[in-house]
Amino acid sequence: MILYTVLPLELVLEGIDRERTFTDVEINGITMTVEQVSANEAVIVRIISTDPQHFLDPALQPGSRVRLTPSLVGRGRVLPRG
Amino acid sequence: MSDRCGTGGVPSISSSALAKLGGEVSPVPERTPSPGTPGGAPETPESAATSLKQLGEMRTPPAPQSNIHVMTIIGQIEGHIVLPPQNKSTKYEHVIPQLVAVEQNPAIEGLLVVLNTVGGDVEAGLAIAEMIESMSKPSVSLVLGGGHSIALPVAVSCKYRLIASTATVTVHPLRLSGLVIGVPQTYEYLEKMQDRVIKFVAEHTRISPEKFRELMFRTGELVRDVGTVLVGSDAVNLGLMDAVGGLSDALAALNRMIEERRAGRAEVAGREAARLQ
Repeated sequence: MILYTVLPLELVLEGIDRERTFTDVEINGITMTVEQVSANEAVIVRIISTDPQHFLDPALQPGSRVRLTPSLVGRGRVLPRG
Repeated sequence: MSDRCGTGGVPSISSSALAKLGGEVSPVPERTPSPGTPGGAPETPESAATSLKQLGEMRTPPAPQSNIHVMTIIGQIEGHIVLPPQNKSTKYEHVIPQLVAVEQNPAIEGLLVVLNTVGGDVEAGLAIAEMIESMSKPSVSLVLGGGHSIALPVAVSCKYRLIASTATVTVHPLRLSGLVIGVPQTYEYLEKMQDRVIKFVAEHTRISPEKFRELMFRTGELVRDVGTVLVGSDAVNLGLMDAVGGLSDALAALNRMIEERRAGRAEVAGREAARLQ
């Protein structure tokens, strides 16, 4: 990668060694890479789709926030009451 | 039920929706007041629903669907590496499919590219420039503030280019502020990369490669660097941009190009129809 920029490189690359974790999630049938910012919110980093119209959707622009709703994995078991 | 549906096309709020809103609404009996008596209605749950509707949030009227797509290219053009979050960046992996969508979507007839960019990844910038250049739909670029380094190929890739009178374009060599990650940084390699930029700019503007190279390596303009800063009309005089202008000029040019394209297509369709008859 070659950066061709008028900004000093130390300014551009400051903090590049900081660890960032990205996860892939599927929301409304669209796979996207997100960066989790809080327990139930994430920011879209990139859309993974073969439908070009998805890339025009204002809600799907990188930087948009998505809400992640926690749900139970597995079927669980009904405990007897009382 | 027919009463409910016939109240002037305004959907009434159902009891379940009310329950969601208020939480403590007793079940509404299936009884509706006759339509056309809005004033002085008794305190029925139905009128509560009406007042709830009136208290609801204000909505601006929906804007008419525009036939142009505006693409703002700001900050750094981000390439293969995700830049740290203090950078404002234009992500090429999003912009490229978006350009495909613009070209493919029949509702979009033109592209306005607004640039205020400090540079970025050479290959990502050239990729965006090549995509815009190869589009069949009219495209207009407007450089505001700055269109430095790799932003210049993106700006010149549009069919008509405008620069604001106060905007600047910095032309400088790749060598001095370039960084190669994971590739042996040889002089020849950088020279080759630089030639790609020079070639693209020279092919799409009225400037010669020799003149552009001269601007890149000019001394005395930048304090600790070689290169040239072109302000508004300088870029036009050198043939890099078509005109000095602003938003209205850009939209007027784009609309004119859209009209020309429509007229051209109508003519082709007419000839085709005449041929078939």
